[in-house]
Amino acid sequence: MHYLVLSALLFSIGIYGVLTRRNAIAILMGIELMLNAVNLNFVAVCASLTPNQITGQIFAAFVIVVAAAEACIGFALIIAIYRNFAKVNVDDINIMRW
Amino acid sequence: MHFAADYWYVALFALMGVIFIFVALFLAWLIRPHNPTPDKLMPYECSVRPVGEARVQFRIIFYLVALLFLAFDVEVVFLFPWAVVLRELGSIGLGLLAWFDMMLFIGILLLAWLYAYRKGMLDW
Amino acid sequence: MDELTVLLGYFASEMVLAIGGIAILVINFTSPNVKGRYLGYLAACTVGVSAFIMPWQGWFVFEAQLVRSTLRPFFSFCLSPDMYATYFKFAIAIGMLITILASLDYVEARLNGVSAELYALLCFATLSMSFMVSAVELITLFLAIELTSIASYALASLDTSNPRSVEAGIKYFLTGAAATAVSLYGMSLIYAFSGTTNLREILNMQTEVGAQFPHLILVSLIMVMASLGFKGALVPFHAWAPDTYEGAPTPVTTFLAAASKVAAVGLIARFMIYGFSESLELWRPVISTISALTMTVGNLFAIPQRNIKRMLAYSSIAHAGYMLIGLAAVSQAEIDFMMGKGLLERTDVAMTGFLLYALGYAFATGGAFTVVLAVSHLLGTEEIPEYDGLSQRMPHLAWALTIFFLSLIGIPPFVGFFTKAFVFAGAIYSGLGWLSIVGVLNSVVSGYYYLNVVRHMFLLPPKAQSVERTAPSTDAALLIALLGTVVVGLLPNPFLQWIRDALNGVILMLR
Repeated sequence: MHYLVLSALLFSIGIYGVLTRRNAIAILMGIELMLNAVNLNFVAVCASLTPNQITGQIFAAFVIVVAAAEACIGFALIIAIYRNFAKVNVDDINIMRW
Repeated sequence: MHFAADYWYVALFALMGVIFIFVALFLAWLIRPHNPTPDKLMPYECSVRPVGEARVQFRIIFYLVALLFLAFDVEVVFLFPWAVVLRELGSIGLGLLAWFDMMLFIGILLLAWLYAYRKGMLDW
Repeated sequence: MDELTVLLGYFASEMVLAIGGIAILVINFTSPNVKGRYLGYLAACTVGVSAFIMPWQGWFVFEAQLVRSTLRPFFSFCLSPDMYATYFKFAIAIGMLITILASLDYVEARLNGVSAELYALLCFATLSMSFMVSAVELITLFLAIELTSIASYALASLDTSNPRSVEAGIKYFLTGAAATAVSLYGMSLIYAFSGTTNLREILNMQTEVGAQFPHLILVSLIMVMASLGFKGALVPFHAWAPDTYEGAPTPVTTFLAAASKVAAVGLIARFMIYGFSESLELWRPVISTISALTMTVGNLFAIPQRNIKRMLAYSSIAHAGYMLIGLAAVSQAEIDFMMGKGLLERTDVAMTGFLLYALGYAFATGGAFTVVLAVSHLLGTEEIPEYDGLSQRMPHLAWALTIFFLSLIGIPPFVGFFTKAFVFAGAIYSGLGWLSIVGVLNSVVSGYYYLNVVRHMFLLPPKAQSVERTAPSTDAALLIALLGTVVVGLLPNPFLQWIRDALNGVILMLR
């Protein structure tokens, strides 16, 4: 049960980071925090509810791998952003407005 | 729960560790000579005079190689459980299938690596 | 049938797509001199062949289930290639085929340096979207969504020297990654209350859990909807769509509108019905609210747009809303039918409309974007005022675009009329009359901005007199889209039969 509370806290911190930060890299860090909260949830539930199955752990492993792939794309995008705009602040990246 | 009791040792250990740092620093402060010179106050850089600022710009290629490393490194997450259960799978007759699956996976990764190599991401 | 035959039969189209995508990349790095256009032909062949295989694949699975229900690939508990999946896969593959054919010229002119990556990623995206609509288990579902998303992020920002494309990519990426994290948390909650990731078992757990903690189910469903709604650009999660549609290279916009959205709604419907139909009364208000909001916001924001890609972006948001009417209005008899019990009454048309809408939408939107791509390639513009007098300069494009727009509005002889009629009728039969009134009003509003473009093309004098010829590949894409829009509209019966089988087929894999 404590793990669920901890992961809810971690998730909230991550969401707070995503919503308040304006630096693309900091937003990405917030997203990683949220993903880690999810991993914690999966592993904790797996250990306490279904100790004989490893579904939750498999899910966590997939989340880790996908998060890494996503981070790769994200950082590559941030390099491209930096080359085009010379900044990584998401408020300044707005050529297109309706 | 006897686990809780075990954690007291960890707490005690951590506390001792923190106290030890302060005790050692305090003793060193008591007995060391105090004689600063400009050379001594410089940041340590392999005992030569530092060149330029500490915040230097890296070439972007380091970053790209790091990205590539990240992508390939995490795939080990899949290799590890596979390696753990491979013997068991072999004993129920699925060994060859599991081996083939992993070779397929690694083969596709190898193609991805070849792609990165041919596109010049690893050239300096 | 031995195991290999079953494996090949169940996943033939997916294998074609995977091999085709990898082959494009391998050809590109082993012999860099091969022209991008030939890689495009290869991609079109790959997607075309897989689209051709897909309906037969559905029948193969159907037969195989009838003959020997025990023999199935060992991962069929996470991917279910049933008739429902193959129907959506077909719609997706058709959308992708139109996309690839329409973009050959555009890519050669503007994106030649990255054409191999573009075509390979389009193949991989088709593959992952097939996984999306056949996923019956949370891990697979998450992986399929992520695979599609990662391919889409890379595609949207493929033109790295163009700041607009990169901006489109980063906006798409940041919202998408956040939405994924939120929906993963929702999935972890679902796992926490059910102890399983299999949708079928989750469904079985629900009556029990729902009696105790109905809010837990609702909260986790809404969190999961974050990423499903993000992929389908439904209204609370749509903010990325206009900018990404406008800034991304036009072939990518076509893919996002014509294929990615179809996959997303297919996934939403399967997830809700297959995994959560026991909580129907919990999510019906959520889906109908999202649907009404999506239609209204999409249509109202489409009116003032001058850039045709941006206008079509808002219009495609609106169409996701219309499609969701079908899901919101699903009746208990239809759910039972999909679970293999009972038969459909004459009034149970909501899901039929939903499935037909997905196909009709893929044809019409793919066709509309084909015209946009051709105009953008030949005249170098995407602004609506530049479409003035297109009927005199390129009459076939103007007429085709008019037909696609009429279908999107819902004018009778075309497929759009039947799809809208079905979902609105379904909503009325299910007691959601207000939703169908919102839908009809929205269709009227949408007529304004669609016909505005038609006015520009037919009634206003052309700004230049040059007459350009479209490439054969563009004509082929137009032909496919036109055939689909007109033929499904005039002869809907075989398609309705297919949809009925598809709905019934969801179940066959469950036994």
